[in-house]
Amino acid sequence: MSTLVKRQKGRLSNQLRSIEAQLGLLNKADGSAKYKQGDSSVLAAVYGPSEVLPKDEKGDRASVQVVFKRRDGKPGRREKQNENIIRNALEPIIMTHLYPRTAIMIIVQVLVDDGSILSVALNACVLALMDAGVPISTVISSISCSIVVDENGSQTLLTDPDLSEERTSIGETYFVFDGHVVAKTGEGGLVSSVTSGLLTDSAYTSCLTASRSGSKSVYTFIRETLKRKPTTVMAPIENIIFERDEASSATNGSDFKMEDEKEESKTFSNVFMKPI
Amino acid sequence: MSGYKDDSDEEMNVNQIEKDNEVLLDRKSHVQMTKTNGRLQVQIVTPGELIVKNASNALCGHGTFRDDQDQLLSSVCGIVERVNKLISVRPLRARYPGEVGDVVVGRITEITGKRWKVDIQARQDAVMLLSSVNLPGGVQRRKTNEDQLNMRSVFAENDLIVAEVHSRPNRDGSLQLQTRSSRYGKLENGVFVRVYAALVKRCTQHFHTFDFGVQVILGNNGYIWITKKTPVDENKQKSMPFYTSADADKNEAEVIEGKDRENICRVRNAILALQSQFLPIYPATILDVIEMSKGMESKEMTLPDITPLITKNATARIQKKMEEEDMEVVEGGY
Repeated sequence: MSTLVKRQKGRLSNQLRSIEAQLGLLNKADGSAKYKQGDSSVLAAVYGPSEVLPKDEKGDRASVQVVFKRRDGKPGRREKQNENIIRNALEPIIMTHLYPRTAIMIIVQVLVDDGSILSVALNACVLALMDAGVPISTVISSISCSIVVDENGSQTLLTDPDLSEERTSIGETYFVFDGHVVAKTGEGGLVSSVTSGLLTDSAYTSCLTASRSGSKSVYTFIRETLKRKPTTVMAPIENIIFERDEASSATNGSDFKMEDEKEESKTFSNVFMKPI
Repeated sequence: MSGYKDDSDEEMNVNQIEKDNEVLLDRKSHVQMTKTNGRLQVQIVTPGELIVKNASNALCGHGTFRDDQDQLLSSVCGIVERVNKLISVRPLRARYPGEVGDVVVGRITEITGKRWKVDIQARQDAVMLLSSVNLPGGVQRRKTNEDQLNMRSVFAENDLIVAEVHSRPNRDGSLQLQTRSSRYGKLENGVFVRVYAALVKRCTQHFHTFDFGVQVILGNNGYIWITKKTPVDENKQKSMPFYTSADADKNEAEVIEGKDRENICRVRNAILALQSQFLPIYPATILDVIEMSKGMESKEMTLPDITPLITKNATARIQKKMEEEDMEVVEGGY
């Protein structure tokens, strides 16, 4: 399987779309985040830990509820499925035992669906949880992959597919990784895995590897978004090499230096940071 | 500190913490800091990040947890704080957690039964009981049913009030407020500013009057009230301009003009400038910014190009303070 194939919009097959995040845009929610990967954009809001309905109440921990809302139209089976997938990935990392008999409500509103929506939604949820100050044990991040077949019958793996690529794909994967494990060891750390369509063993393995390195970039992005002081105005930056801002670096812990990651920045070259 | 230099950087941090693990546990300094390029920086951690490697004799406080290898990890994004052996992480962006005795500024959102609901930028609206306010005119007596019907004449919806956190009566974490002091009550004729709760520094006095005749109430919850200083009235016991709604109706609102208005604006913009640089907000830093902004119009102060310039002194003050604390650490720690 060749890995470097030019695809639409000049992207390489293992290249992520540009990432943007914005925290705390909703007033009433305890935490909120808008997260974009390319044109796919999701708004996640976290309410809680707060009052819980008796039927959802759990005696020893908080109950985590996820609501997945489409951009338009009535929610169907697919939305229910997405809710379950997201909840299953988030519930183990949220320290629910600290808040017995409460509810943590996570609302996911799709703003634009341009592929990889499940991954984008999960990343948005993680950011929103941290914005709300809900204790979580680790940072997880997610990336989707698609397998497409060209006219010669050879399969190509596309990381972070957009909607048109997803439509032509024969199989899709969605992986969630524990960012700390991946950043430290470069392997393992798989939290959740969902596949659909026809996938061979080798295709699954290469999707896993590609997703892992992609999720590492998302993880570093999430961490840097959080470490930055909330008010820093950031212009879009090419090649994820961050200059140190002399005037504002005195009291915050965020200095953006990325020499070590230059190698990776070649592959995922257009990660943008937007002001919070 | 940089998230991108994960492996190497975390390694370095770990070693450093490991090296002065003992020292870390009997350091004097409250907030943990690291030195980068010769400058002290507050240590900001993200969930899952290592704080102390060998945590067998540390206590894990809020925002931290212990893993199976006896390491102390952070569970929220924030600043590491330490009191003796207790290590905790104070979240950066979280809502106002609330502490008994805090001065808070809030807005009445609802009146139900015999209580007011007050928005104080916490997770839930705070509760203020009819029995924990002073009646119009400062009368002290048992509250009757009639008082309950006249609650709107004390505080109506959308009134801004200053109050004190009285207690945390409910398991769900909501707070109870009280205004049983002449210092507390309704606010009017001033400017309201909202900032991050974490930025308001705890001081002995949260009511502060500047020399140029402006009074600020720095609510611990990140709500700030700025108004003109009122001269102390000899005849009245009240020295503060606070009333219930009924009292306020009686007094005609005084028009603040000219110089006072300008000064109030300046204080407001100084606070916003501090917030944009994520600097602690307390009278000294506000004065620093006002000092630096002399000679410019107050409307210029919030421009993104200007704020780093006018907050230079405040930044230096914080930096110096951190270094002093670090000196104390060296003197007292070994």
